[in-house]
Amino acid sequence: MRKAGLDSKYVSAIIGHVNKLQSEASYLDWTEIEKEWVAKCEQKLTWLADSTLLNRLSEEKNKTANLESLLSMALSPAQIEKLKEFIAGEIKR
Amino acid sequence: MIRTHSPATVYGYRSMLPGLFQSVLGEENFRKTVFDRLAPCGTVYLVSHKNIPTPDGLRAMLTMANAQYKALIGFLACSGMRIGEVLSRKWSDVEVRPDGYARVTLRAGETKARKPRYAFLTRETVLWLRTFTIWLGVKSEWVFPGENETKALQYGTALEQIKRLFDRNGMKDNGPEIFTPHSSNAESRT
Repeated sequence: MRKAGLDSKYVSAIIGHVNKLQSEASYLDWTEIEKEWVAKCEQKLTWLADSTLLNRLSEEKNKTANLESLLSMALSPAQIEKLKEFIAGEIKR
Repeated sequence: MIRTHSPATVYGYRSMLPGLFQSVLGEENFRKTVFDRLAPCGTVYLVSHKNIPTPDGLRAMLTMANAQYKALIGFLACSGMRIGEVLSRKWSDVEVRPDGYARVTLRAGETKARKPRYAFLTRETVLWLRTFTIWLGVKSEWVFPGENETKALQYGTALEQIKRLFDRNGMKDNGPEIFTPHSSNAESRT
């Protein structure tokens, strides 16, 4: 976790290391620790390649869903259909 | 003198004896000063060093492990929890977040430091936990149920299987340098 860039104090808090940081244990912001852990360690602690691909796939799906919802707000159904036809044509080319 | 136990174990056992003698023999028949003179407290020092598996070694173990031990090793490796803490987890302690990763709750009475804390699981480990649950085919309150699903998996059983995975993947003990399930706690510090 340290190698991934997580603050040393946060690492000690997560693994429950019994050390001098005990005095600080009551003042930990777990919301911040969670946010930092996700940002810095979640990917680094993913061990197998197929899991990495699954994670990427899930992220891409989320991005696609966001884009689709944005388009449905900005365009009419007819325009969306035209756009889909255009994209399909581009992919074929 | 034949040395059968580590100094730390001897120290721990010795500290329990005065209470036992006082209870069994009666306080009037036991004196701490005499006990200390006859069985002096030795120096406590570590006799083993926990080796940390390399990322490639860990990957090799995960690839070889079945659904249960893939989930257990993944849990240990990404949370940095002690094996006893992992085996005593119930599903009510695991909160899966909308993004797919999870937060694990440890209450003060369940931790070595006697402080409440949280650990986190990657999406990959959550996926392995789900796969393991499907593979198991039995509903249990424990994340890692034992042979009888009303009880948690035993430490000894988990230790034996994890040691075998270390061994089969070239991570063998070398004198005082050992590989144990606790290695993941040490690994997470780095």
